[in-house]
Amino acid sequence: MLSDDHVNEIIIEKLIASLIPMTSRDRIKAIRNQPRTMEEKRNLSRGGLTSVTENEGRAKAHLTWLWKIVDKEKSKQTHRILQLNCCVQCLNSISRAYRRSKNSLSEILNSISLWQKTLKIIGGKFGTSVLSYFNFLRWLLKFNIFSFIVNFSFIIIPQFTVAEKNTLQFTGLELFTGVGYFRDTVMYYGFYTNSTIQHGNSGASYNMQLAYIFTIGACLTTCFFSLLFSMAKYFRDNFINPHIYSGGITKLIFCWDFTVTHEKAVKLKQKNLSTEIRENLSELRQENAKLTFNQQLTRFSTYVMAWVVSTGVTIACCAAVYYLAEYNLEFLKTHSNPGAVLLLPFVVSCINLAVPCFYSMFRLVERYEMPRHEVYILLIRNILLKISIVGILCYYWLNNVALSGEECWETLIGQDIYRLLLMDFVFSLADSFLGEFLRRIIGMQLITSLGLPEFDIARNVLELIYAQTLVWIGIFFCPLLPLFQMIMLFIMFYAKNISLMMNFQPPSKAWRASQMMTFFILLLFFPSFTGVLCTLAITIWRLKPSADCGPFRGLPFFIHSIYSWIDTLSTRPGYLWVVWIYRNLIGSVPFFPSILHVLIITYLYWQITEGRKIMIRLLHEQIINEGKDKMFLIEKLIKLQDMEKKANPSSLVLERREVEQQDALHLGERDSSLDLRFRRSVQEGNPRA
Amino acid sequence: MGQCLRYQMHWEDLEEYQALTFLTRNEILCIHDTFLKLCPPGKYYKEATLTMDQVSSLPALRVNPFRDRICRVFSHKGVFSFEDVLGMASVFSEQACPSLKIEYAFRIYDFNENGFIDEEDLQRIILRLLNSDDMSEDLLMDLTNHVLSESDLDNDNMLSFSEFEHAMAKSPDFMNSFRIHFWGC
Repeated sequence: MLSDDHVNEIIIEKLIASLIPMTSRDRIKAIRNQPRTMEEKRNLSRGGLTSVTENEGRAKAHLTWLWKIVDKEKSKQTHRILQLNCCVQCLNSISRAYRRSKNSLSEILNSISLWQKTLKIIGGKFGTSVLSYFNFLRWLLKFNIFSFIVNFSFIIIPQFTVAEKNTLQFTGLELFTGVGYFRDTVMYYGFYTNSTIQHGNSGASYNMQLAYIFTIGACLTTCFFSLLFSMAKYFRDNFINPHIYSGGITKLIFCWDFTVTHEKAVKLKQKNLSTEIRENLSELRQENAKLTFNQQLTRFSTYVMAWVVSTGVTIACCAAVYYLAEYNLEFLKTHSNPGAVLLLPFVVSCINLAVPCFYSMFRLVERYEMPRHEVYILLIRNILLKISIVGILCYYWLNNVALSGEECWETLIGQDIYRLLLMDFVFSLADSFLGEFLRRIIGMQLITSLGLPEFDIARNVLELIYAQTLVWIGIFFCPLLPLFQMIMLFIMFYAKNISLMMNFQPPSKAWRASQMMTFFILLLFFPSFTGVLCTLAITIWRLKPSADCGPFRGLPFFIHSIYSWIDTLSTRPGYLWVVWIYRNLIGSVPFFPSILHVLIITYLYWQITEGRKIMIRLLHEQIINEGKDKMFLIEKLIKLQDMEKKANPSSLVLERREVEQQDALHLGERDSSLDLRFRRSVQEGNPRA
Repeated sequence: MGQCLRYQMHWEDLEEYQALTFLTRNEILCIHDTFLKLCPPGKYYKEATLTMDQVSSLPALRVNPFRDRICRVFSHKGVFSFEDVLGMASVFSEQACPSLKIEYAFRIYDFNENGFIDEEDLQRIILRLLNSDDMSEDLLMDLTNHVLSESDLDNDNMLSFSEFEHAMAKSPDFMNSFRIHFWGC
């Protein structure tokens, strides 16, 4: 029978055999992934003694080898081949240098990472679910920092060099309304010149039109790809096949949040876990309870009613916003009350605050079988509300404001977006400081049964997505908007953090943070960002720029700046390749190739997840088969035992045999566990790339 | 609480630790500092050991319901050397690979150390998690049976490593929850 040590040595020999053909970098990675002590790993990496069997008194040195010798042998064999391709060596050194720089860059980024300590404290007290909101906020902040830096370098600084003097008055109200003094600053589209900036006789010229459109395009393209890759990464890591396995209680038992380090938080978590486990168990018991036909009918009709009411409220709000905006436009043409422009943002923010509360009251009427469905339905309703509001505002801007014949309609849109964003920010701050504070007072002093409120992650993340959508739409009309969003996100982080520490308790239900974050990033990409792209596409291709202001004044469409640039390039012989790319690859329907590419990439990633689903199913079958094999072998062993009992009637021999075979059975079982690990380590010894 | 001899870690050792663990350079140095503060005076850090009680009372582990199991799994012969502490921090770090985390989670949850998570282990896990005295026997048995019916695929009333691995691979939250920050800096 194999002893434990012997099996261990065989495992190590197999591991070493698999490590020999690897490059040294892969070797270190494979050794690092081994669940062994530091000393064993060190021995493996240096290539010294593998194991010393202590109980034999003398050291058994196994396979003393040196990786250097191995590598030398390998390189000798491949040296002749490599002599012919010296570019392979070049590639190797380039890739090594790239890897080293990537490592040092990531170390530097980690050390200057923003808010590292604060996030650790939040994670320790409230767990990973609340932490995911703050991580999302930090991630959005990176987008805005990047957009601001690009905008600042390429369009704002050049504009400063040819800035005209600002003759307007500055009063305090302008900080809120964005009109007046700010109209003639770099803040808005209307201030930018359409000329080619040229200083002195140096000859270097800077075409502001092209700079403007290319800078905005570069910002949005980078955001697009960054979002796409983040989304694909989240899909790949977190995609679960929900309908085959439930796995609910197993997850609760084995996924204890080890990051929580506060004693009170741990006690609270234990209490909440207990409640949740009991709820889950009762849910499972009730799954089999069938409802009568009448009950099903009533339930169905309440669902339909609730959806009709919520959709109706959404449509009513959108209509209200549209007519208010139109009326506001008319009103402002005749009267000149500077504060009146704040009415529309105020109403929109009130709707965003009040209607979700109204929706959450539906749960008093609707009854869902699983409380999880309730959360999802509420989320969908809120998303529909926000999307509709942004959509109707975009329609109003592109249809009414742009075609109204106003003097500088792009600046007007920019001002509208600025006011919306600012009002939304003010409302969020007020909600953090006043609203949550009041809720805590009510929960602690007045109606003590409510207790401290819980941080509503979904609502807060939707707020962030809404604000970011507005920023992306507004970046064309108000290039300084990323700066404002940066400042607002910064302040919001601290406000939410303080409010969290003062007013909230850790969440009671396990929140499935990674699934929800995948969903939110998908939301950020799909309706939000693609909606922004559509809006901007309509602006650039279909709308007429205003005649007196901005970098595109006088052109029939915004896109004509690119057409005329291509035309001038086609006269110069050195740049014909650019014209070729434009005419043949981008073509006359520019959207089509990009959408095609997105579809292809999505399809590829979908295939990856499908492949993993198949893998999971195969492994499942393999485990079941192994179980059957085990049962079969045990039964056979028992049969053999019985046959031997009948063949040898002597009791002493019988006893000894029984004891031996029982030992064999036990060792067999232990062997099976060791064998499984042996097999697994062999599989891991040849790591998948 | 004494101070070990203040030896600077050799550069080669630091490089080797960085290669063999998932920790960054700063994290290794922070753990080195913490270790030096706790170990007995007058000893070289590579030879000094910490008791399981000392490691259990680190702020990261003090309130963890499984701290005794964590200390059992990562210590050797009942004590922690510096490299044991590094190995523990590496497994619990953010960058550790999932297979390593699952392997050690299995060892931690296997209370009776028979290579399987059986009913007895499950009951002890549940009692640790809930830490309440008003847990009835039926509820405990019910819960254990549900967990086994969900995850036990070969119906031998215990979870082998493969079944555990399969169950954890289905829940991405496991990777995010099985993390501990050991360094105070």
